[in-house]
Amino acid sequence: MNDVFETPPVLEVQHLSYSFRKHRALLDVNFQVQPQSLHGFVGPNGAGKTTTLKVICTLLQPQAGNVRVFGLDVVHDVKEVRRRIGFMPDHFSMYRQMTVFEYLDFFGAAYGLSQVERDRIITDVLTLTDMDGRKDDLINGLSRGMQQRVSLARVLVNDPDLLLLDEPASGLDPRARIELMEILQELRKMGKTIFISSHILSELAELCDSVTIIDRGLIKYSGPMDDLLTDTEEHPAYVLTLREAVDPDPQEQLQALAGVLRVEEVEGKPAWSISFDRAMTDTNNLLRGVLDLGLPVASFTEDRKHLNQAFMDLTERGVRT
Amino acid sequence: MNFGMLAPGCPLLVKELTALAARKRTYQVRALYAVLLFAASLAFFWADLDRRTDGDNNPLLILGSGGPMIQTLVYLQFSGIYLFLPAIACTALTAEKERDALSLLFLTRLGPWTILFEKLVSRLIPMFTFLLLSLPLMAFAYSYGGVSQRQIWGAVFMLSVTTVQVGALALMCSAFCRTTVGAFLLTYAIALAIFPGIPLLIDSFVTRLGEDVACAFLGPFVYDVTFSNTGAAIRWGTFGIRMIPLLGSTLIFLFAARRFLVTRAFLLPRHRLRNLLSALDGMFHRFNQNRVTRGVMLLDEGSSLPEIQPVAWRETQRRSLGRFRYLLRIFLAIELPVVAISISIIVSPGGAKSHMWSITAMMTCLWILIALFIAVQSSSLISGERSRQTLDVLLTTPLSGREIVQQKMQGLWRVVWILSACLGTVCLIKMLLLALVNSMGFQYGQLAYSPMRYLVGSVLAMAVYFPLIAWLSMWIGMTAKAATRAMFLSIFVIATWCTVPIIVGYFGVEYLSMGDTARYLTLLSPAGMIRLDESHVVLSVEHLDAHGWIILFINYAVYSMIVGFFRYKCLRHADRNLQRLEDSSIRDRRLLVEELQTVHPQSAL
Repeated sequence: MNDVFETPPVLEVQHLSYSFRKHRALLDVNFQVQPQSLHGFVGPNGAGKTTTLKVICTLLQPQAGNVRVFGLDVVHDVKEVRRRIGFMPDHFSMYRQMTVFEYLDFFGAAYGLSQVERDRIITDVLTLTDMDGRKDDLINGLSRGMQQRVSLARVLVNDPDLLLLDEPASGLDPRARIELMEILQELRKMGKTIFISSHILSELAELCDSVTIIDRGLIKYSGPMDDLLTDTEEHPAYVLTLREAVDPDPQEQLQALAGVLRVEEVEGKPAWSISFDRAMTDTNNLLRGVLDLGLPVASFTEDRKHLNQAFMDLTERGVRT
Repeated sequence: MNFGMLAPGCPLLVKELTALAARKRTYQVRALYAVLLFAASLAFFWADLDRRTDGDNNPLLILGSGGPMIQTLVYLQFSGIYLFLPAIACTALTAEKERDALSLLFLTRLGPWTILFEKLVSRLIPMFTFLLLSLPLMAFAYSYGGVSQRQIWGAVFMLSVTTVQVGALALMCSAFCRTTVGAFLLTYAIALAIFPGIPLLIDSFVTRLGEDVACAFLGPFVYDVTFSNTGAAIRWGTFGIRMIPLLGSTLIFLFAARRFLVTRAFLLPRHRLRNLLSALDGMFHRFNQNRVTRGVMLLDEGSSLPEIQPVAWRETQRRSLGRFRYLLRIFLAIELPVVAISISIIVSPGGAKSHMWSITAMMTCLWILIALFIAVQSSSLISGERSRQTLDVLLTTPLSGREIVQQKMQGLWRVVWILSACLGTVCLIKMLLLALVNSMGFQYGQLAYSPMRYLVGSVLAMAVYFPLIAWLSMWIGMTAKAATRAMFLSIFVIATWCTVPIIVGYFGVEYLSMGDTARYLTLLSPAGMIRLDESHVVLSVEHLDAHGWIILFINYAVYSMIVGFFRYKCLRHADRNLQRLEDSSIRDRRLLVEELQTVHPQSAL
């Protein structure tokens, strides 16, 4: 599934495995992240998301397989990898008795930036995160949403090419969440590659170009978001919506059309999801057949699955034991 | 272990016991207690039997020696209660507060008294299992004869009463404090004060209280005067009166715990140290506003930003205990009382020996407090970041583990300098007093001790032991998961290292007649040399006169090497201890060495 990509990946995970004693956290994990993309990393609790992120950002050593960031091996080129990534963990890791500026300056110095560079970059990132008016405030006094913005500003202080964000929107109110997503969109436009792990699937569907779904340490899907949300190439599905309900029910007539595999009524409205075999017919012929039936057609659109449904289809029910 | 049968009536107790049974530490502590109890008991038994037979092989001489053995065992168990139970019980309620789970308990049908009772019992049961560990030793002692039933039943009763009393005290502190560390310190502080620190101090220095008053809260005292003398009949009336303070204090602790449980259930962080420093700040500011100084500023720290060492900058500029301004105030706040007390001791009547004893007592207290302070601060430098979840982000920066650790220590070194200066002042006063005593032709202790050797010894002790405590605690803090655990572990390791060789040495001298061999054993403890310097009674006159300087330098040379070892452990594998990938250059170098050692063992060496 990764063969569709042509440009060298920013992040490449190959056959990665990791265990905590007897507990297998990751097993033969493979995926790639393309440059300047926003890649979602989704999985239930305990799926192995944070472990994967910790391996990528050089906190854990892979027990098998390898991970490359910009072609650099995370085990052998530790320092260079650290310079080129920005990591935001899934918790607020703040020095609360510092001001916003001091906090960012502290990390700027930790990345070895000169005072002049730090001043310039911090001013830029504070503007980007809309925190320039609060730069002299103590972090302790900031709201959760503001602290998350400061955390994001901190990630940007060393001007990383790859941002690794672990659940950045968890615990934020809807407004703060939307604003955070807007900032991420802005960053992508600036050429950053963003690898974001999240539970909030609806936002990922709108935001991400590609997605990796992990469950119980195994990769269930990795590739473009569109491919996940549409059915397979061989058996696409379209939704036929009528202006009004008709009598008799047209389901049997639709089922009888050439190449149609399955017809399912959409609950609550006069609409049907029609799945067909592309080897026997195509979309134009199917639409022509529908129109020949004389039905009052309102729309005929590709049936995009909701990310929630795709997620549920790919992952297993129940908790990990 | 199945505690299901208790579930309908005591759900909290069941939960506590189940959690306790599932924890590895429960068994580790129990094993440690058993080892200490058996080792100490058997050593005392052996010494007692040795003394009785006195080289004679007649077995009849040891018949009837079970009574003193039981006495020894009971006193060891009392010591165990006072040492272990506060640490076990002080977490009872603070653990719930730290997990934000106390509010959930209040929402259940459990009332405050039920919560207290179940928590108390859950902590008493492990202590009773510790007490049961002595049954084989009791059987051993009983087989020698001379044990009365009254001794045994009295011991069972008084050990139980003392256990409940100490448990209630720890529970009260746990209800009062917000954190486990606070409860731990408060419990031991109160225990030290009433069992029987303050009464004894009053008895020694203010007015004669008499042992009945001075030891009124002590279970071992009541046991001693009531049950140990098998010859005399028990005076139940006197026994009843003696039980009043014990039972009364237990009830007071429980009622106070009941009150604090509700009133202090949801405390916000108080930052006492920061508040204290702010108060000191205000006080010095007011003092500074006068006609002479007119608010003069000797040092303007401003709001500088990090230049090249960000972690060191944070430790020295953004932490209260790193800033020069606050350190200076802490120095004055400690130094002035220390000098005042020292002068008052010197000018007070009582003679040179009494003066020297008082200054030595003050020195000992200062040493213990400073050692504790450095251990707590150093062990929490990394583990504190880990607990506050700020470490991961720092570890993803290009700063090497070695740099992080070295920079972290910079703030601590400042504090160590300040504390050393306070301790150094007392050393200097004592040295001058020693020189004065010597010049007057008197001697302190067994010999006229060289003031110069005392001064050099004290300086070396500070130069070697403070870094030793700091690096050892840092190493423990780097490997521990939580700050509280790191602090307790550091204190435990240091306390054990300091006391065990001294106890073994004392035992060797007193009971096994090992003489100077046992005395030298005490130098295996870092406190051994300090004890030698301060009290001058550890080694015999001949040894110290002949080899005083050599012993001094060898001792500190060895301990310097140990400091180097712990520093090496902290810095060499800093990345690994901080739990992140090592810099490849360091790792490659090590792999190369390992490879060379495998292929050419001799050339690698």
